[in-house]
This record gives sequence, C-alpha cells and structure tokens, in this order.
Amino acid sequence: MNFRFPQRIALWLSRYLQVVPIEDTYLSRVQIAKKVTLSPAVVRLNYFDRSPFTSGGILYVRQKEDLNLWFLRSDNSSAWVNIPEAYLLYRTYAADLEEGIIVFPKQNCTAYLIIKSGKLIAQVVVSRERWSAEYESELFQLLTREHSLNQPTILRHSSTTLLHPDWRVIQACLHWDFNLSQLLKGGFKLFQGPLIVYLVILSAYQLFTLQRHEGHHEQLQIEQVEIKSHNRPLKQHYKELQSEVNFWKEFSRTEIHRPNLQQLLGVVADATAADSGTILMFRYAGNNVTARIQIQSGAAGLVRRLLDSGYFQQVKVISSRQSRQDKGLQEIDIALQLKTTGPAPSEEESS
Amino acid sequence: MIDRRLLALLFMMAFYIFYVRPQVEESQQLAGQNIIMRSSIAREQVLAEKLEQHPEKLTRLIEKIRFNRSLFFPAEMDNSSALGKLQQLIKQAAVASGVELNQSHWGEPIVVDLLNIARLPLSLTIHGGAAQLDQFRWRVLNSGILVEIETAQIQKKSADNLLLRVGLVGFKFLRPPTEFKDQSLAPLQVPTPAVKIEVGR
Repeated sequence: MNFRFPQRIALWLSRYLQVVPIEDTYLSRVQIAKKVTLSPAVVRLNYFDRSPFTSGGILYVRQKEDLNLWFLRSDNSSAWVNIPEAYLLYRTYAADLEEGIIVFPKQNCTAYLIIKSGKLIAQVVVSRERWSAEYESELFQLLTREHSLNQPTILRHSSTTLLHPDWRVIQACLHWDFNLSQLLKGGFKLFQGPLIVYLVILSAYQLFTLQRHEGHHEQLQIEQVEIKSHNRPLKQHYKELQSEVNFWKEFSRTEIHRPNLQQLLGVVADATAADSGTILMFRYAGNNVTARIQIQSGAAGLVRRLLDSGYFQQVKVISSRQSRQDKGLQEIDIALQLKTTGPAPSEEESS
Repeated sequence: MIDRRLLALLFMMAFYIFYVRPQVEESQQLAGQNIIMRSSIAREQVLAEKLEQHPEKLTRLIEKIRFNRSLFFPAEMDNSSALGKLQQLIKQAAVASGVELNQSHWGEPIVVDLLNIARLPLSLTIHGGAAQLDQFRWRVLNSGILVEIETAQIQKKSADNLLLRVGLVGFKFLRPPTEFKDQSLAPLQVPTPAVKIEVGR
C-alpha cells in the first residue's frame, strides 16, 4: 500500500525535504552484497570515484542487492532529506511498470527513465535546445539496444505538477549517519547550561535549607533547655509527692486496720439490748472479737441479729451456760470475725 | 582548549558533591533532630500545664502530708523517749477523762524498715465508767499523735465500773522524711486538729 501524507503534513514536511532536480544528478548503479551495511560516509568513500563531477555529494537508494547512486553537481542542500527527482518520478509513475521508457518533459529539458525488470536502471536528460522528434526517436532506439529492452512501453507524462514524496520514498532516501559519541557530546553540550543553572539553584536552596534548620535547631535547643529547667523542680516535686502518697497508701494498708471500737461496741450492744441482755466482757484483736453476753433467751436470735448487722463475716457461739447470779439468764461466749470488706468504720466516726 | 562552560559545570559539580552534599546530610539529620526536639518540647509543655493546672490541689495534698507526718514521733527522738512521751500523753488523757490508769507497760519497738517507721507498743489497764472510758478513748485518739489500738478488752466489774485492757501502738520515723523544698507550692498552714489519715483511705 502506497501511503501518502495528507496535504498539510506533506507541506510541512517539504520544509525538511528537498527534491534534487534530475538534470543536476548523474545515476550510476552497482550491485552489493545483502549483508553490507551502508552509511553516507561508506558510500562516499567507496563510490565517489564513479562521479562525473569533481565535487558534490552522493544520494543513494538501496533495493536489496541493487544500489542506485545519484552523484550531485553541487552539495549545498541544507534539508534533512534529499530525494533524487528521478527516484521520486519512478516511484510515483512507474513503480508497477515491468519494462519501458518514461518521458518527463520539463521546463528546460526532457528526462527519460529506463525501467527494466521493474527497476530503474538509467536516466537520460536532453536539453531543450538539442531535443527534436528525430533525436528522441533515435534515442529510444539507442536506449533499447543499449539496455537490451524488448519492445519497451513508452510512457509520456506531460504533468509538471509539484510531486509530494510518500513515506516509502522518504524512508528509502533517509540515511542516518548515527554516531553515539557525537550524539552524546552534542547532548552534553546542549544540557551544560541548564545543568549549571540547576546545580546553582539546587546548591543555593539546600544551603539555605541547612541555614534554616540550624537556626531552628538553636532556637529549639534554647526552648528545650528553658522548658526543662522550668519543669525540673516541678517534676522533682511531683515525684516526691508521688513517693509520699505511695508511702501513706502503703502505711495505711499495712498498719492502720483498727475497727471503729465505739461503733463495734454499739453493734454488739444493739444486738444484746434487743433481748434485754448485758455485755459482760468485750475483747478484740485484729479482726477477731470475743464477747461474753448475758441474755434471757437462747443464742439463735443474738447470732441472727449480729449477722444481720453486716459487720461480721462469721459469728460463732463458743459456750452457753446458765448464769450463777440469775438462773433465768443465759451467759453466752461468742467469737465474731469482722468482715475484711464491708461497711468499714471510718476514722472520722471513730474520732 | 577546554570549554569555559564545561569548566563551570565541573566546578559546580565538584562544589555540589564535596561541599553541598555532605551538608545536605547534616541538614537532614538536623531536621530529624528538630522533629524529635519539637515533640519533646510539646510533651514538656503538656506536663508543665498539667503540673501547674491545679496548684491548690498540690498545696492541699502537701498540707495533709505534713499533718500526717506530725502525727508521728520524729526520727531525731530515740525509741525510749518516744515511748515515754506516748506514756505521758496517755496519762494526761487518763487524768483528763477521770479514769484510773492501773498499769502501763512498754513493749519492744518493732522496726519496719521498708516503711521507714518503728512501731512503739504500749499496753494499759484502766478502770472507769463507760462514759469516762469513751472520753479516754477519744482523748487518746485526738492527742496529736497517731495511736493505733491493736487490741482491746472491756470487762464489766460492777454496775458502773468497767475494766479496759488495751494494746496501743505509736509510730516513729526511722529516718527524717524528705522535706518539700518549694515553699511557694506548699505554703504551710495549720490544719484542723483531728486524727485523720487522709491518704489511701
């Protein structure tokens, strides 16, 4: 498929492309091996001796093992891609032609392209002054003999409209002379300036940042020293207080465990008085209370009342006997165990 | 000839690598330290606010601690003197409340080194009426010295004569406790006279 660029892109591309007129070129063909890699420098070195011109450049198009060389009369082109007009005409009008001669009349000359086996094998340019019908007829015969053509097709094109090369033509004529070191050098040179500016800005910014951090650091050091010196006595004071609080907690837990004697007596007295009894003896040590109580009825009611008071964990009747003074009364010895958790008597109540 | 621009570039690169770059590392370290210091300062500020937020609470606490300490015999006093003093206080309470103090025995002081205290035991035998004994008990407990009643025995001898056998313990510091230095935070005030162990109850 012959891809063509849209008109606009083709026009834009034409700034970087130049079609070298056929009258300024000389075509020469050589056979090369398939594996040979070509570059403009290699082609110039190997084939410039074939040029009819003493100076000028070389354009070449490779078609597998065929190499078409166009020697230029002068080499003053500044375009990126130079395309020989003969090749452009061949690709535009005679790419499908197997054998023949194509005639392109130009303003000052007439160009003849000789096609054989589908390949462009020669080009002939006849100036307007020398051209005549007889001359052309003789030229056809000469070319037919010279290139061993067999009844060649003569195609005559009268159009001189500007031709736009398609992508294949550009690709065929575009030869990269790629040199990595040159490219790197060029790139390095190109980036030297911006790199210097970047390094200057980066260095300035980083030095400025360092200065800022140093300033902050000094300020923070001062602040830290101030706040620490302010807090040190507070912390020490707090630590001492905490230690003191811990001491009193521990002291209270281990040493202060006295029951409220008055309240305790009151509880036992209430339980006794409910049965019109009397406390004869009351003794306590730690959590244990022993009492001798004189009551009228049995011990069951007394025990129930003492347990209901909520102060005692355990109420034990040790002995029960008839009173010697009054036979109607009972003397009961009871052992009471105070609850360790419960309605603990407070200090205020005791005082 | 070496390009001037190339020379400038080489100079800038050398300047950056050998001078700026090490300082950048230092700068990063400083930045890290600054973050740590900021958080440390913030913590200290929060602590300061907490400590200073309720000075009256601290003052009250110190008052209570000082009052509690005053309930102990001082470390400077030896055990015998302390026991003698305790006995004297008991006698005064007995005289004031009208009870008859029959016997008074000193026990062997017990050292509780962990708490920095010595327990000073004293056993008493007292005769008196119920109201007098209660008054005696009240006076002992409000004598200005912490007295722990460890054992008590009340026995009825006659209609208005009770026998009270009681085992008391007073407390003495082994070593003087740490004094609070900051007087501004802890103004010493005279507390109301009452036997109160405020802390831990």
